[in-house]
Amino acid sequence: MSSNMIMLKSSDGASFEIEEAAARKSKIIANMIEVECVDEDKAIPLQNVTGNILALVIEYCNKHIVDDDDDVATEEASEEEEEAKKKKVDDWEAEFMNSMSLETMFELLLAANYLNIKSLIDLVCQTIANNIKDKTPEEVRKIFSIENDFTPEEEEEIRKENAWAFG
Amino acid sequence: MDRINGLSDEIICHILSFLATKESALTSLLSKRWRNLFTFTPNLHLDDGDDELGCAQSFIDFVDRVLAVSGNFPIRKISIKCRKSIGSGHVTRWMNEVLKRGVTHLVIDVIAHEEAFLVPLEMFTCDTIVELKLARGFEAMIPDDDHFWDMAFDTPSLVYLEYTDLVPREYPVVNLESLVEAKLDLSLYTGISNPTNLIKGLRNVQVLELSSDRTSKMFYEFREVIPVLSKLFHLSITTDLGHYYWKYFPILLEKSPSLHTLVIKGPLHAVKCERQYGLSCPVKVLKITKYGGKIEELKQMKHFLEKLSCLELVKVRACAINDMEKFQITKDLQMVFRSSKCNIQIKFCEKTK
Repeated sequence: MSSNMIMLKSSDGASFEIEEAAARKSKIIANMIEVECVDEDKAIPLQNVTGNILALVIEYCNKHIVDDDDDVATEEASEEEEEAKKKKVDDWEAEFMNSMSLETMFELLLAANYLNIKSLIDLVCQTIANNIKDKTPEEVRKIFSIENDFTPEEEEEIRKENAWAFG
Repeated sequence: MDRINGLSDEIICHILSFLATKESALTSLLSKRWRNLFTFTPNLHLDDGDDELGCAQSFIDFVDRVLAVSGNFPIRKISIKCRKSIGSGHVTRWMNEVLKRGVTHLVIDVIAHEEAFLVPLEMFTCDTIVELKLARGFEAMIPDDDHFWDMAFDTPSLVYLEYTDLVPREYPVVNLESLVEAKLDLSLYTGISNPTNLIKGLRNVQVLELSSDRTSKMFYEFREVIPVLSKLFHLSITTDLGHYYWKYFPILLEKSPSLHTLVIKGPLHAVKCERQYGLSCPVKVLKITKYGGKIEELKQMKHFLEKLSCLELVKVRACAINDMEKFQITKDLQMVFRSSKCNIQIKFCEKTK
């Protein structure tokens, strides 16, 4: 396996070295590599991503690059092995998401969206969705600092139009 | 940063798509921006739960509203489940609407109380549909009073199918090239219905379930056209004590050279396999879901273990009223002669009466 390394530079000027294969998880970076915008000595500047968030993105990509490589080889693997492997990835992802604050989660989502890393977008969205689940509107507003701009009459109207969900 | 408000509508909709629609709809109350965002998702999961009592009107209104508010927004996956009585017209209207919006996965689990739910014929010629599960009580929408109708089943992308219908005079066009899993509940209009092309079209399935005795009757009457099911790996049949048409069964086994798992749902002694299976019948796992320990059942068990020579595992779910009966069933089953490499696992469920 080739271990071509490339450099990424965050908006606050921090540089990170990453395997090309891992960086290709980002469609944007993969695209830049394809059209040869990447100079070997020069770092790719990522204007919308700060250093601490980029570090998380790279941690995620490094973790998942291995799994993709294995895909071909494991076609013969037994169901149990597959399951065990999937559980390991799931556990890692749960731990990874657990370790960060909501604030960080939103920044990570924006970065994943900007870099176009589909699986990371899904992971963060799923985690945020779990945070909304089983909570009252008031609780959700608090968590996400959303301001209620409805009048009580409007609120009543919405409860009526979606009566089934509020029942 | 202002947390979630810094995200685009598109991303918020993506977050909401990970929730059941009943949960995501609660966000309509958060603020004006959120009022209708939950309807703009390619995945709608509408589950009314298991409650059979009461009126379905608020559910019907809600589904209608969600479909109306989101306009032409593409719908990829939609599942609708409701146990309360819903008129056929509503369900047909929803199917028409999601067909227009490019649905690829459609799962409807509702109960027909009076009339069958009519499925628009376009559903069966939709070239993008991947999953179509219409559980119980559906019928293709054929022209009124027409007893001599044909119906095309041309769904080249279809992978998962659950299909209930009265078989038409003919399926002139059948394309089920991608089909992997099929669960069928089909009945014949005696002397008119002809499922030949549909049965032939099943040749690529890997998982097949025949979920009613009338489907078995159909397979028996048209046994000559059963193709070689070279990829069939998992077969389930639902038996019925009344007048089960078991005779198709050995024929089906003969046509299934790769069969690994056989599941028999319903009374075991309804399947009377007097015919010899070829020595090569490759079934390795046999699952019996409803074993009551009667003499006829035990006899059938012996028969299976003798004839299915490649069996490695037999899983039996048995019903017993007390420990005595459990003991007896276990003893009987352990005594059945079988090859040394074949294991029997017995699991008991409590009898309800």
